[in-house]
Amino acid sequence: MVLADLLSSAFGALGAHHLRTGLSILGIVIGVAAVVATIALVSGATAQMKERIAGLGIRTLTVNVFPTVIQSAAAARALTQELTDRLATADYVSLVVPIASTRASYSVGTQSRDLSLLGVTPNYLLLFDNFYPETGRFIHELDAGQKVAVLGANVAKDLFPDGDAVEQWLTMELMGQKVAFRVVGVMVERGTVGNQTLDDYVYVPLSTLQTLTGSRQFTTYIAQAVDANSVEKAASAIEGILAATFAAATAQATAAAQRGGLQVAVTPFGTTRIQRALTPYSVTVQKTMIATYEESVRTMTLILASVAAISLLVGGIGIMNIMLVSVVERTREIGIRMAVGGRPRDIRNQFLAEAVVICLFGGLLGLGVGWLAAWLGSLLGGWPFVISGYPALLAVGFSVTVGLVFGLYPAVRASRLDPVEALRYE
Amino acid sequence: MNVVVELCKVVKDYPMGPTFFRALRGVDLAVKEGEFLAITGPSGSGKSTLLHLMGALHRPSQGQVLLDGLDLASLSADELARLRNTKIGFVFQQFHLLPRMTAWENVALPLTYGRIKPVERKARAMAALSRVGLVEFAHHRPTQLSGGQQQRVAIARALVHTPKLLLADEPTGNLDTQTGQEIVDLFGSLHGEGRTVVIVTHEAEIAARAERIVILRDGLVQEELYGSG
Repeated sequence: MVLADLLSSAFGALGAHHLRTGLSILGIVIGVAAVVATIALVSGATAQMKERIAGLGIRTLTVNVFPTVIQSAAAARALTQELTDRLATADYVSLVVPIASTRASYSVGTQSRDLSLLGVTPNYLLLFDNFYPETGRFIHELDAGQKVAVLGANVAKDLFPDGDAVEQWLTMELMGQKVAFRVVGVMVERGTVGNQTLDDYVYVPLSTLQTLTGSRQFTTYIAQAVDANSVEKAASAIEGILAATFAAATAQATAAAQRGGLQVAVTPFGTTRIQRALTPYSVTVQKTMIATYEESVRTMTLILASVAAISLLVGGIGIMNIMLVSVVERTREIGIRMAVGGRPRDIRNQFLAEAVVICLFGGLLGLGVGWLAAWLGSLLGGWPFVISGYPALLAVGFSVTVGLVFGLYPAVRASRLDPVEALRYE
Repeated sequence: MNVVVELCKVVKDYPMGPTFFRALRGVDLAVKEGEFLAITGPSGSGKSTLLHLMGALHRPSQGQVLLDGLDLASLSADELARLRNTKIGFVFQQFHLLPRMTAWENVALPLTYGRIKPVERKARAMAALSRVGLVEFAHHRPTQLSGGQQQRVAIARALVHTPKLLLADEPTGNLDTQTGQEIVDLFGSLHGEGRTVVIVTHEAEIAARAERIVILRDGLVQEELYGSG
């Protein structure tokens, strides 16, 4: 018997008992639907999470430096400039942007509000896509030391609800003194990138911030690797430069650590674990955040996959049961087929093809149900609906395998019947 | 004349619980090409068992069955199937048609197990149906046909691959006398065309139509007669 004969006989048998066939494939449908929905939901959620983490750029490294003693604001500025220049020379590094943050308050009548100030240089904008001034301009080189400010979209809305913040004066209380800044620009709404909301900052020149806060603020250096694969190499290159720069300070810090005390820095990019507790600097890689997230996704997928595997097992047993019933019911047919020349292997293949066709039908139905569930889930969960060929391939592969594995025993039983007894079967 | 099937001291046992039942107890029989043979005898005499051995559905427990010169005892299950597919045509008392298939599809069934192209299968099935006079019923299902028509379809199925040996097991047992007579006439005319026909029957009237009648009793050939055919 050729494949076409097997398939046409299998489809014929399938159509004979609609309800029974339908019920028996339910296990396969549910199993495959669970797998497909899980994969689609997880990949959708992953895509969204990756987008968030990678918003700051998977190429991004965060360098924190904790110098033990800085004499003055001028010294802080000089150190920032020197370190920025030095780090920019590191291999695999394409960009270094220094930033520093502080908090200030702003009084409206009797109320006072907290503001987050971010000291930046003009190339801060290079870190983000689609982040530019909506009105006015961003911080410029010539603003160094000037009391000018650019407002994030939320801050502008909050402080200047009537609009037109540019050229207004913003007086803040900073480090116990009132300072007036001239607003020179308002940024477009950009939302959350990484774990910072760009719309909530007041951007001022870094040198201005350092002058006002003296030596009390750490400077963070955001570095970008030349490409995603060079992040680790860039990190070691930067660490090499930092080690050379802070050889003396490291010795001091080691001594300090031996007296007790651990350094943890809070930066605008979250709490930074100091990788080497005895060095006065740390390098954090975004990539590790993604790796951690992907690890948890893998665990989740594994758990759901095992649930799906169990339901496919149950489905497979259902198929085996229905095929055994079918073999008994069609004993006479088996006898007839054998009498006219069907070999045992022809009979086996016929029932195997039937099991596979039933399972494949269930698998495709499950694929549809699964995609529908994933689509509904993505609507409710608000993440992108990711559709790919991989679950379809998996559904087909799974159902064919279940059909072959669980159809084999009934098919072999059918092929071993004695033709004369099969013909006599009532 | 060539011998199509030859049985030498054939014994056939069926297992029955701890022991076995001996259906045939040493049968010697030869069927020549073009012969019309009837096997008769009371029920339990081993008629059907003898037919099953001639048709390569079973192997003998002892002795030798030579089908077209091949010793059944030395053949595998696959080789027996191949033999049935090329050299044997069976007709049964209960017609044994597949209910989900149309008449021509039932007739073509042996061809699906041979290596014959689908287009040729249909042509040959239609030719066989026209031989039994049912070509206009080709697309009917067995349930839409009368008993006599169903048996004609079964005969067409037994003819479609032009076998060496046509074997019929009580072919009139489920039919009324009139229809049964027509079926026996059909076998007679097939014999007239040169086909080798073996019919198992317990009806003396039908057996009398054959050239030779073998009477079995308790698993042994009791008597051989030469009939009118």
